Amino acid sequence: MREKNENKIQQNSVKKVAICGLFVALAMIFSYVESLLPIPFPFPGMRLGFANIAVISILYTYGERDAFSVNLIRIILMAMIFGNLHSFLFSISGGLSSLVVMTILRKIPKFSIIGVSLAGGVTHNIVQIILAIFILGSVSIGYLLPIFMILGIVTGIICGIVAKIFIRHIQRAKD
Amino acid sequence: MNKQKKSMKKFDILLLIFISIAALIISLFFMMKKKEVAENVIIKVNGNVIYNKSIKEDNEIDVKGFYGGHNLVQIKNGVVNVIEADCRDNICKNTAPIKEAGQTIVCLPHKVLVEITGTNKKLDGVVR
Repeated sequence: MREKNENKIQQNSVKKVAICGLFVALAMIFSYVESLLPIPFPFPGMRLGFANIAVISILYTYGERDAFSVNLIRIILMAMIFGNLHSFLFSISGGLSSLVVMTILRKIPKFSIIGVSLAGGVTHNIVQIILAIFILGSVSIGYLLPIFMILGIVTGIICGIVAKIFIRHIQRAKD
Repeated sequence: MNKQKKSMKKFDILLLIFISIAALIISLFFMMKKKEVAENVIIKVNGNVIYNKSIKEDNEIDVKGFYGGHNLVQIKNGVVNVIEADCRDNICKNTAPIKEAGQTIVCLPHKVLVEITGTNKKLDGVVR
């Protein structure tokens, strides 16, 4: 009986590693595809933040630790493969801060996954603009802030909706 | 459509409205600043001003990037444009030329900021 349980636990953790690895790859694909979009960003390296789809999916199925791991690994890999110093800075500041905000908001039961992902998208963009202002040493770029906030809401909602679908599938595959 | 609406709770919509209003207030703030006549062109490298002259003065400035490299900024007929750059992404060159106060062209790899300033640097009152 004990052996059966141990086997089950081992199986589940192997599945977790496989699924998390899959979602790192997924996040990287989302990140790469959105970098191809002909959207005029002020600086290279700024992203819309659709990789959050993968991060939110892991956050809601496996919890914060795994979500942070998936997030960090995909940021580092993306930077190593596709990026330069600036894109890495934008990626990690936006990605980490949005995940921190999302893990906090998730604990408040009054927010649904859409609200959490919405907040994540907005923080991601706000932090990117703040970083741009900081790097340039001039506040004048701040006039983009409201546009990016609204953009963050839209991408956040889309991330939440798609993440919901993914989560349903992960739950089925998990066990 | 109904199924998706069910998944959003009241607080989500509150958050959305809150952020939208905040964005609106910020944009209003920046819009008030924009009601200015273009006056000077300022070029900063890493926050240090290296050029600050009237936009009416036609000029071509070779800006040395912070880590090396250069950008050629052209001021002609009240329009500012980056016509040459040797940075990797060339976003500064591809940015549309600017002519209004508050507009900027940025070269991030070189830490170069080209900005048009207006007649009021600090907003201490608006007279209509």
